[in-house]
Amino acid sequence: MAQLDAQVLIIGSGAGGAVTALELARRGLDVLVLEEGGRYGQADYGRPAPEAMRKLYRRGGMTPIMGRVPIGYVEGRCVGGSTEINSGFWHRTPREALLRWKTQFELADASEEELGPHFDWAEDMLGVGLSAGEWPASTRLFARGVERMGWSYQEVPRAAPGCRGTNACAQGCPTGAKTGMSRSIVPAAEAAGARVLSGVRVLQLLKKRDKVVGVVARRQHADGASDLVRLQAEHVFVCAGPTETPSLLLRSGIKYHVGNTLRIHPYLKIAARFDEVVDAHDHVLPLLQVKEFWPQLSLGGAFFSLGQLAMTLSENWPENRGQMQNHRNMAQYYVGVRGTGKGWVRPTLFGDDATLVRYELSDEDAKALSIGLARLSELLLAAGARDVFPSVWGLPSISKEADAARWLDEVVPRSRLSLVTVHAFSSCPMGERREVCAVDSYGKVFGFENLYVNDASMLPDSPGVNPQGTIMALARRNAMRFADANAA
Amino acid sequence: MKKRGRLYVAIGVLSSAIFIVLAVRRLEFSAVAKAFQNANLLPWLPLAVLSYITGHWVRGVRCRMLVSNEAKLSLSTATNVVVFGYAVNNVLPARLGEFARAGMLAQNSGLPFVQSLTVTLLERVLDGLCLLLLLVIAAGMVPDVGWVTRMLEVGGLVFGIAALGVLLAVAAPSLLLNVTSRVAHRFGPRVHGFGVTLVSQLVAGVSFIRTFSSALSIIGLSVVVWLFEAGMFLCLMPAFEIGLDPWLAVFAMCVTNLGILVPSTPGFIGVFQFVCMRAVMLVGVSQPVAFSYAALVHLSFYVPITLWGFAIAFTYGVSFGEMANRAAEARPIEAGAEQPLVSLRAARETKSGEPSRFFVALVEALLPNDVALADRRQVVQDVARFVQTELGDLPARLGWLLAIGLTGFRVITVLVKLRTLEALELGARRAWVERWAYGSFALARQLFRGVRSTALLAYYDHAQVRAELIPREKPGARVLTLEAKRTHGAA
Repeated sequence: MAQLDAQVLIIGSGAGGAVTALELARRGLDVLVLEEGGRYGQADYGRPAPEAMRKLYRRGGMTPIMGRVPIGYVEGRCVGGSTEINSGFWHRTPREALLRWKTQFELADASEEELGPHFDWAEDMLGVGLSAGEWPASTRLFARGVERMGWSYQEVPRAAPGCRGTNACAQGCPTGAKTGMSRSIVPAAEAAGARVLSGVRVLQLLKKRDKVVGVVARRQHADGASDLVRLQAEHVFVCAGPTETPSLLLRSGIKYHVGNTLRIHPYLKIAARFDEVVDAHDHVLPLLQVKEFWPQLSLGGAFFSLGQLAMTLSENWPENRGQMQNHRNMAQYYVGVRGTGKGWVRPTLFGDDATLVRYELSDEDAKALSIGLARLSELLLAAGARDVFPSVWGLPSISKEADAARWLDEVVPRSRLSLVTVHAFSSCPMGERREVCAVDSYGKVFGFENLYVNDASMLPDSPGVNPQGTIMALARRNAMRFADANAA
Repeated sequence: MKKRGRLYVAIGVLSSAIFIVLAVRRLEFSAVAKAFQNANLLPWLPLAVLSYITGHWVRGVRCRMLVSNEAKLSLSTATNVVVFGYAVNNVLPARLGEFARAGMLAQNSGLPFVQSLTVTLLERVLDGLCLLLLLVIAAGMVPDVGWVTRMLEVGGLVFGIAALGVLLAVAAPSLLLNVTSRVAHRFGPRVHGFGVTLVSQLVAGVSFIRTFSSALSIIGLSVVVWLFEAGMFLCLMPAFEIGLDPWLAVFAMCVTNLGILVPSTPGFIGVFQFVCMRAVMLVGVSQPVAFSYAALVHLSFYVPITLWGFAIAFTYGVSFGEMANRAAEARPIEAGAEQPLVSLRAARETKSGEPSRFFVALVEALLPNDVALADRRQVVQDVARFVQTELGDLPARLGWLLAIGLTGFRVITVLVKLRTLEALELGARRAWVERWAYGSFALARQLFRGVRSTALLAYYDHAQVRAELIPREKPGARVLTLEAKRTHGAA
């Protein structure tokens, strides 16, 4: 039987866990990474959405965020975590966000300059860069719309060097171009000596006074059987993601500011029909973002498959189902808002050990989404779209700018919105202000000597951009500081 | 025999002796002999035995069903396991039959002993609750006496607490395991390992009744079990010219089976006769006839099952003594540094992997008919399977809300359409479902959002549908001729 005890136990192998494992293993620490999901190879990626969801997503993608407006939320559950199913879009943490975190949370040593080397390192490891080839039609149309509106855009760098534009990022990159953690950091960590065990779900941290002495975990076998095991460790890093990290801490009786401050970026999807053939399913998703209205609003491109298009149209299906025949002329975009509402994460009392997540959209969010609906619709109509189809019940399509502009003043009723998100964070906020934070500026859980959080949970609040870069940079900073103090 | 075992036996013998004395006090034995001489044993005795044995066969069905998530037992083996437990209780003291039965179940199913014992415990709890339910109903049909009320109170307390425990294991398995682990961890690794192991197997033992339909079927079977046992009590009434009274039979059966929870000798001698006799005396049956009736019921209860048990022991090559020891031998895995605390079996693949007829009908109504498919039926089946699996993955609280909502939808469908959704013609079904899924009632839309979204996703990403909708070359398509450009606007 494999030796399951370790000097450092890392729970989760996503953007936070993988970076932590690499940095600590490089410094000679005995590292064991426990990943709940499976480990998949290239052949398993890029499969049709239903198959991919069953394999790569937590609970098959059925992890909605509840609230007055239920929000579809998915996260990865496999080696590499959500980096295996995201778009690979890359942002450095905006300066404004870092300043806010310093002011409001007293987050130490996390200025733009201090995080710069960590971003440099991560971008180098992942091959982050702009697309090498010609922009696909969905991107060019978006650019045309932005220009006609007189706004500015930026192409968002991606961690996908050599992307071949299959638009299958959400099913795991089938060409291997996207450098999710399973292709980049995890192999490097293993080469440095870290051990990675997949199919192991940690059920509980075992505490003894102010120390965590081990964990109880369920180890799943290929045939579906499972073992309950107890593992010992000198140090534990919880990097299980924004919902599972607080859930695990709460299940273990660690409650101090844990799980009460979840933030998300709520997104509203909009499909657009153009005269031109776009064949969005055959190309990379639109690569541009409009930051004109940031931080309240971002406009950009969304994944496209026939299934995803149908989901967007489904809010008004009786009116819009015929548009499926026009799929070659269609593309999908999004309105994203910063997310000023509040949410919480709790382990369920009933059933299996699932996690309940709740988020209440703020009035500000609802207003921003309505304005975003207007802005994006105007942009797409200016780009030449015949109609746009927002994911809003009772609003099947918009084909005139005047109809779009209406939403600059009016607010879409919450009950009509159909929202999604893939960005959640801040469920265990970091900083030196103990009255609002769960962990210190380096991820150490308050009240514990050897327990750390090092994933999206620790972001003090919404960064307003795709969080993978921020998570990796902060995780590396924290891991290096830990290694300085603990490596032989 | 250990000291504690000897104490159990002594208490049982003493208790039986007391009840025998109570039963035969002021009894006219000559009247008893006369009652037996005049008894009409044919066809009533064979019918009674048949009813009782049929009840055990139903118990076998129930036992097989309870372990079906993790083990495949033949019906004959499951019935033999059940009967063997009863037979051991008939010949060995201190209800060792329950342990022997768990041991035999563990041996034949490969399940851990504690899990097998949990299945037995679960059956006992269900039995107790069924008996109480039947007693409450039947007690209204016989004269009101204080001891029946007390029996209901005590039984209600005992089985109520047990039922709460089972309910907790069924509804909140993770919470139970979590709390146990946290508490046991304070007492060191050994206690922690034991606690976690025990609770894991308890939770696995009740896994079958975690869905509403399976819980309902198990409760239904439990009621049937006891109705067959009441059949034995009923069939023997005419043998002593007691009027055929189903309610009296149910009443007597309930109080007798609850009564024999009192410690006694193997086979419940004394207690059985006394309680059964008192039950029928409530409706005016004389003491000698009541005693004769109780004695014959006991014989019908004791002899066939004990003989069957001996036959099983012979067939399976075990002795009753061995069975008593098996419980002690089958210990949970000891926790060690490198050992799993406990290993749990994989859930068996069953036909439940197929979508239900309801889901197929629902999904078919939600899917468009916009593409000519080679095998539409297969596509609908695949989509329905995906949707059902996905919805099954919802966290429990949301899953329950959805189940309640869909049940409401089905009930309203029947009330409004006078037939089930599955029976509606496709056009009518589609119109009805769309009224719910896309109508102006927000709650109904929320109920159907997950169903319709996953259904449409799976449909349009199905290989057959994609092949039809995404031809690689489409003549006449106007290709975009925008000038390719790469402009980087300011952030």
